[in-house]
Amino acid sequence: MSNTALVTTPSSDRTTRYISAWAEKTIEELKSKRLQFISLIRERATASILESMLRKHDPSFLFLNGHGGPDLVCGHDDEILIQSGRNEATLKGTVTYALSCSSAQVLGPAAVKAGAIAYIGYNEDFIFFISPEKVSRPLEDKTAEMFLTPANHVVVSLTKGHTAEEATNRTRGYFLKSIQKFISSEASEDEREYMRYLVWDMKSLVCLGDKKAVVVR
Amino acid sequence: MNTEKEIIDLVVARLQNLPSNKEISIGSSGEFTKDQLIEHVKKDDAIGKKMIAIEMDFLRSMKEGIFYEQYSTSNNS
Repeated sequence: MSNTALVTTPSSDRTTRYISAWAEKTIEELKSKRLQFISLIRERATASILESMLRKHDPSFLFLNGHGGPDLVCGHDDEILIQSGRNEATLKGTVTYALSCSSAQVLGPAAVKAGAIAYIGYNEDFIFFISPEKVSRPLEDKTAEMFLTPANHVVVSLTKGHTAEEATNRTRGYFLKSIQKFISSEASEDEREYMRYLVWDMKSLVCLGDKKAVVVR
Repeated sequence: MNTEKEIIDLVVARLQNLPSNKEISIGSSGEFTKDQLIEHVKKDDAIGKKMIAIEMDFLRSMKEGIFYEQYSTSNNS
């Protein structure tokens, strides 16, 4: 098993800027000695560079951030990186986490069928809230943090050596803990309004393929 | 009043409670303010239907006791 992870962090609109900023923060804070993260940042998050890096590094883990749809995940400027029926076999031998809308509906199962070890992703739109006054500083956005920190816990958990299923369950647990906190009397009215969207994201997260798969030994 | 209209009214009422100074990101569909979301729900278009699905799913989840649910592993380690 390779000790390399590939990460795509496109940044061509508000949503991708946010999810990529939080993904980069998560990886930076991990400082993992067991897994070397290689990031394809902004304009480098393209299909040709991703495929070339996959061939060169044979990563055990692929962390995709970007827009998506039932059968695809995009990179920078919404270029399609992986699409079922076209190049899902690119994910062969990897554990993938796609922080992307709906790709666990069609692409996830197709990738597993084509040899991906496991595919963790969302079978519905991934939804989060942002504070417009923070768009130039997404990491200071406490509202977005409520959604993106739990979502990035998949990466934290996998890097600690948890299995794909454990990482998925721990992430759902992280979402749930936030939701349960909002029921308490200390939560603001605004925070309570976010609950339904956190529930949506939590329930949309699924793990496909080998549930016992790990990315580090 | 038919059920569909009642559901739309319910979701609009819920969305009214969202903070006005935030936007919601719905993947490649973009970002929306509270007022824009309400318009989509009233129009019953794709974004509106998504908001209705989220509300209905939340109500079902509450009925099923989601707040008391536990996952097999904690996220502390």
